[in-house]
Amino acid sequence: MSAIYLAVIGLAAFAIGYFFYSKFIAERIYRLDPDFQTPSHAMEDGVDYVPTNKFVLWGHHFTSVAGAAPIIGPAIAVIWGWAPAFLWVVFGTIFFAGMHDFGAIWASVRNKARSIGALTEDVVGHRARSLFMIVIFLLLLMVNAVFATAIAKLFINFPSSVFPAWSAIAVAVVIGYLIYRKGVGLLWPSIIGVVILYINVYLGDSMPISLSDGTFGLAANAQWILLLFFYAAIASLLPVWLLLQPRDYINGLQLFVGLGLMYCAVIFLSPTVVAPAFNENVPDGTPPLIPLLFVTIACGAVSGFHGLVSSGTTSKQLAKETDARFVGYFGAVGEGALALAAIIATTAGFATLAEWEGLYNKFGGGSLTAFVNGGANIVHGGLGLPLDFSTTLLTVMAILFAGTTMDTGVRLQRYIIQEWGNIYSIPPLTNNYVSTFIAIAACLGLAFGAGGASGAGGLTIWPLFGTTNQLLAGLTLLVVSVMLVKLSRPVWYTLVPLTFLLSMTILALLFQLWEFYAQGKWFLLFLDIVILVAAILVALEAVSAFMREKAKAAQASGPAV
Amino acid sequence: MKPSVVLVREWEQQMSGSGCCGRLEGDVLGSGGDRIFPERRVIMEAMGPLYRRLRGRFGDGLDLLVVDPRNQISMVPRLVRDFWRYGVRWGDALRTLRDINSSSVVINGRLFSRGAWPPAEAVIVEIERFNGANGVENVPV
Repeated sequence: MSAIYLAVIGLAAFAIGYFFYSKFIAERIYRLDPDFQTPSHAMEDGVDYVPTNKFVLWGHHFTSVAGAAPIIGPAIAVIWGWAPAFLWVVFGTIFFAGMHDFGAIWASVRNKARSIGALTEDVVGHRARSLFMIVIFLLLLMVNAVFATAIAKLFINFPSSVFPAWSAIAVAVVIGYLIYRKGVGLLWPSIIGVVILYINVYLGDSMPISLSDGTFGLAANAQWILLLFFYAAIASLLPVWLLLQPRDYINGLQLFVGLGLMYCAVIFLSPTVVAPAFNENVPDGTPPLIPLLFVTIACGAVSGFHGLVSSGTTSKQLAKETDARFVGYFGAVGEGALALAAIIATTAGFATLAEWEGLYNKFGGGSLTAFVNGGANIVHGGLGLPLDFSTTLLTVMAILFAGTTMDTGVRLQRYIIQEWGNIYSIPPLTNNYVSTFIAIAACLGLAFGAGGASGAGGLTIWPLFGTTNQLLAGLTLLVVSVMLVKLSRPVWYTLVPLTFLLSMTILALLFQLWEFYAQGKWFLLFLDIVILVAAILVALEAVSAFMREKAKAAQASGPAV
Repeated sequence: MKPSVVLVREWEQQMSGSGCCGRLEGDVLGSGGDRIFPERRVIMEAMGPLYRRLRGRFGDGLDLLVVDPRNQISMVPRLVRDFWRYGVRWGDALRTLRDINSSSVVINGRLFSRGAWPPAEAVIVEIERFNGANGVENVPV
């Protein structure tokens, strides 16, 4: 079957979801009111609250929610075949992610643009707020460990990416200096920066860099992971204008270049999907499709992190309440399109089924390597770019996304640890270096705890990361559902996704609990239990909030005494 | 035809395809009362008075947009629209694209200022001049 069918059917389904389902939700469930005074007007100050054109706001929102995770998740999940991943991405985007992102904006706009964390306290209760912060910390811990493992793996498999990926840091520093310290116009530094990056991608092919096994008694993979965290520690301590901010100018372009290249190449090449629709020969040790599929693909089907973006800043710029449908729902569709591209690359970018099976020889085995190999084959065949160049280009793109997430992730963990130091009066924790050291140590413990001394198996914790992301999405859906109950509106459209997500998350955690116990992975077992407790508490909070609201409604409609 | 003003400045939060799982927004934008991006915050707050003055003076009679320069997929088409709509010459259009920095004012497709926010009165005079040339009455809102 041609991959064009996957692209056309997937994109058409997204379009139908947008034009029909989101319209229904907007009119019947959220009942968006074009005359409702949004916070951007009510509190308009030209600083935080600024009414913004919906197309401009979509551009901002989409580039904030898209990244490496909607590539990694589907790239792992196609081990069960292309059909389950495809169906979950398509239906997840239409009925889960769209509803969730759109709902988070609506809930925030109806509550003076309060963030979703604040809303969990206001709408659900104080305990829910504490749960929210715990879930955020766990998420950051895992995303750093997983992304470090993923990047290390790419460095090992594609040594040509090492030079351009690290040189991008120098490029970003120069851009940062020119833009923020010299006040140079944005156009030339951005264009020259991207051109230099692509020249370096070209040069990377002629200067592959590899680390040899055994240095300091460590495998090459372990050395890369240590180097990456050493870099992340330094990057997270640097002023943000020097490295973090200018990287955005490169990454923003990369996102659209990557998406454009993939879809254009698919159209021109019309590659054949070689992976089976349902893989009946999954490698030993592959977990069951249900429930693991639904936590392996989080971003791309539904992601709790989107709630942070939707309620944090997007809601403060929404000019009309009716714009929430385009910005929120269509933003989710954009990310679904990215996940769809990842599915096509990892299932249609290979000449034979045997070649595909060679990469997917264990759970987590294909992942970004399959995305890069498959995507490069498609770009090479469809657009005529040299294969080596295409390979390095896609590798560097994935590394830049994941690397920037590591920078911010470690920085955020440091802030949270410092905040704990303040709350519990532990002065050493408020120190920049001590808190960074603790954050890095925790991440390293997880990366090596999950993957052994080589760190090579770190991607096995990807589903655990997914469960936490889904818990965060569950909290947002809980807030939206409780609001709907309070307004006496139909609640099934958010309650069903909420129940489904919590059920799959808890089932996945129970399955992994047994696996970790059987394999004697005690650190992961402990982490699983912590997340499981959080998941059960979220479920209890949900039941308690609904009972409370139901009792209130019954009281309100009862006979007057 | 309404005059158009584009205020270019970075929003405080991180964005631009840098990873969906490391957002510094909403709940985690401030830490212990301190802003995570203090320099960017200063630029945002400095633009506030200019924005409020323009909105207060012209209300809906002005097509006013604040855009993050990293949001290239939205900013560039908007500028191109303004080049076309207001008949900006190629040289001026290229100069606008070339010289925009992380705190700039673009009026009707032409770069009006960059680097520091201009006095609101200077922007108002420029808009009133445009309105006058197009027969639009400059009635304060």
